[in-house]
Amino acid sequence: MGGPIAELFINIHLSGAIQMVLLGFIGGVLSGFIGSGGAFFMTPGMMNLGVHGVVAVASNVTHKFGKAMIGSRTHTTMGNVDKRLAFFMLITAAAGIRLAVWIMSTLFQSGAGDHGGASGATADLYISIVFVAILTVVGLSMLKDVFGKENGQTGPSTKIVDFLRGLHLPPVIHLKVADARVSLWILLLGGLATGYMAGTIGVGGFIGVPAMIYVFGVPTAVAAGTELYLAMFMGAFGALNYAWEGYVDIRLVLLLYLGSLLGIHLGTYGVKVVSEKVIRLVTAVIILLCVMSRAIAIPMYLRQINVLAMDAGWDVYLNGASKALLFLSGIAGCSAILYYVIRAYLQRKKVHCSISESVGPERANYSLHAKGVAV
Amino acid sequence: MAVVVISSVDERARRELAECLAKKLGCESISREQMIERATEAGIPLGKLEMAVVKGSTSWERLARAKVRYLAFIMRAVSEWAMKGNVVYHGRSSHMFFQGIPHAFKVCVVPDSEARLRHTMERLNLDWEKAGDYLRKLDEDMENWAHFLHGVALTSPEHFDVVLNLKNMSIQSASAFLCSMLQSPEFQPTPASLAALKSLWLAAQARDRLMRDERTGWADLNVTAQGRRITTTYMPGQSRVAQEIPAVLSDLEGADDLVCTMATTNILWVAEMFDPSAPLYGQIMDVARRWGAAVEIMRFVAPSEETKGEPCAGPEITPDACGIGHVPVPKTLDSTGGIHDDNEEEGQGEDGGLAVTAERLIENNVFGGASTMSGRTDGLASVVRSDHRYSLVVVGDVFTSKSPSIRVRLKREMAGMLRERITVPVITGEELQERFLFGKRQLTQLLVFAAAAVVLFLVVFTYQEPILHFLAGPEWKGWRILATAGVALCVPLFAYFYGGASGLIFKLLKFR
Repeated sequence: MGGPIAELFINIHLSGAIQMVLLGFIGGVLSGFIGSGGAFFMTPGMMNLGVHGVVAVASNVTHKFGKAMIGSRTHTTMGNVDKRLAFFMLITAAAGIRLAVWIMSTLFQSGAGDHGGASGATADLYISIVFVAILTVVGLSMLKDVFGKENGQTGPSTKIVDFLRGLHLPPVIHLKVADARVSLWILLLGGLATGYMAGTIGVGGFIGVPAMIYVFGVPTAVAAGTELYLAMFMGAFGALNYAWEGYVDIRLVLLLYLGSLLGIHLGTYGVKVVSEKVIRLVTAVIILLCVMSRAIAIPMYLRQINVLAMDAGWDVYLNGASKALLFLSGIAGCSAILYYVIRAYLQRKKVHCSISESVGPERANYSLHAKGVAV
Repeated sequence: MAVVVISSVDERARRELAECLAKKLGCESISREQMIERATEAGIPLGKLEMAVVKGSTSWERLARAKVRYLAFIMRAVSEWAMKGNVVYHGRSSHMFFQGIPHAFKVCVVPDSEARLRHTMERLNLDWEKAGDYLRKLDEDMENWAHFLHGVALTSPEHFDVVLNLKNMSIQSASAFLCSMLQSPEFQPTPASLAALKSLWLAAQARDRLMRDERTGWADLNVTAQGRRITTTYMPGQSRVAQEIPAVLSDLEGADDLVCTMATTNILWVAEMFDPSAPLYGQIMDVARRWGAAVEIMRFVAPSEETKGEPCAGPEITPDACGIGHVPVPKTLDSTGGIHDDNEEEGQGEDGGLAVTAERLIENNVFGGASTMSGRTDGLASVVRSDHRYSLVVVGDVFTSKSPSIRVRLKREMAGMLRERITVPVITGEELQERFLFGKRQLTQLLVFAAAAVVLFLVVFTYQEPILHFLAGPEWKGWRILATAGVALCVPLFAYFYGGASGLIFKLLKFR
């Protein structure tokens, strides 16, 4: 490849393609398992493989569009989609995406520093900082949720919902499927934040789903289904915007699909056989490892834009360490999920017991016999 | 043996009617309020639960376990009373506890709104307007409560046997009317309805005990009973509970058989005739194994043409020697509408293959319960709708006494009616293969999808440089609309073809 295209898109060799498919596979497994997209893993992973941040986000958003289109169909048939909620959120989500695309394009076109930095280092730094900030909050909140839950209370906290309901901000929208009442202004604000995050780091779900559950008071299943439905439109809008700007690398999108659409089936199976606490714990640990991986790369971008005085030779080590940590977290997470899937499959046996009267009519004489039971 | 359940939004109206009726019948009257007191004493956070329902839906989710505990507690108590003999129970949505028990007389009482308002004004010392506002809010909260507990509207008439409007009727007249109604053959206990009550009672005992025991109280269990057999299903993520269930239920009175099945979800198979050697059995087993689902079988017996329009001569039971249950066709359509089962004698009677199919499902580790229901198809919708555990309903061989062409039409209509009324996907046995299993059609689809995905992939990678130039190169800037449209078209197409092919591969590997 030559010309300006060569500066924007990477050359893909066999090893790069395999790594990209592997990224997609791990992202797919995590996506199926967590139910909230695997872009938090794939976006930094692509950046570690040398893809510009803006191209990584653009390709990820486009990849998510097709995936959400298929996934939301299943959720719609299961009655987990509140289309009214999605509609109101989409109004401002579109504005959020447009804002994100504009910021990214401006930063990317502002170019690199004059100290041997790669073009787009400013955009890469911006993406990394947003990524680290948001996902640190998400990861720590999940960990707090895992270890700080009172006994017998399995659902989400309602403190924010109760507070906002107390404010009585008209007009209030009745969400029929979710069976909740939310102020339009809160919905619009939630949509804007979700759209902005989806357009910036490709993980709008990490804002959208918690917002729906903790701020709007929507049941978890409906929040996940509606987010996927919303992601289809946000992904389409984001993909069109990024494609219009010329940042979508269609080859990367197809390679990601090769892995993700296989991995998502395994991840989804994992959800059914692993307890909710373990799901949250595994997710939180993977997210925090991804955050650390991205944080390691930040000094590299700071040097490239001439903010940090550091030997350029360190770039290779920082990028290598970031890449190794990311793949380590992804592979470890995937292995843990696959372990649970296989273990559950092997355990899938039943108990068939007979409580028979062995001595006399008194209850004390009843005994338990197992008939070829495997527990 | 009369079991009367009275539901009303007005506590005074239902209490007065229940007490008057109980006096006439010479039995005990039990109120929801007494149950609430006992539940609170038993440590169920009912106040929190009610407040959560009043506040909004998210708290419901948070307190889901408290709801299950409360329902298990109250079901045990009311079914215990009903088993003992004559009882009148009154509450807000008490009729929902006895759905499927034909001889339980379910009464809805519509209070005289003016009398209710006046009483509220006196009791709370409020003016007309404030009392009206108060009652409107109260009714709304009660509606939410019924929706939360049973997933139904409080006054849906389909769940009642009779609706009484007290505007022009005194309590005395209403109770006399109910007494005379209770003499009708439809509300007399039959071997089938008593067996159904006993199953309800046994399941309630088991559920309550499992919820209260710390060894099993933490798990999400589904408990049903049929005859003397208890069936429990538990989630795969909670498999360690399986070791505890037999110990917890070991000395449960009335139970002598326990089946514990690990299941991610439940498939409901509705049919009039079950045949474990038929292809449909194998197909349902196949889907159940792939999904990690338990299969619940429900025998549905539609009223025959001969019985339609005949005068009510009382339910005619044809006892048989089947262990799981045979339910007679009722003489009139209106006297039907519940899950029945029959006598408890063991043996192989004319039960439509229910018992033998249940045994086969147990052998294959996927048994999720068995029941029988007779009546109209809308009654079936009511029973299925009140229970949201299923992820698929399969309609098998029904209306078997009809000619093949009529059978096909009625079956299609029944599936259509169920689809309209319940949120769970409903398919016929014929559609099962096509939708969830791998056959020749799926193989062709797989090959087409895979070929299309490969072609798209090869085109993109063979011509990657010109394609990238077209998508992002400055020389093609004027064609950006076409480039954007190309991305918008190509990406979902590849996702559709490749996603479809990969899904079919997982289906082929029985891993979906």
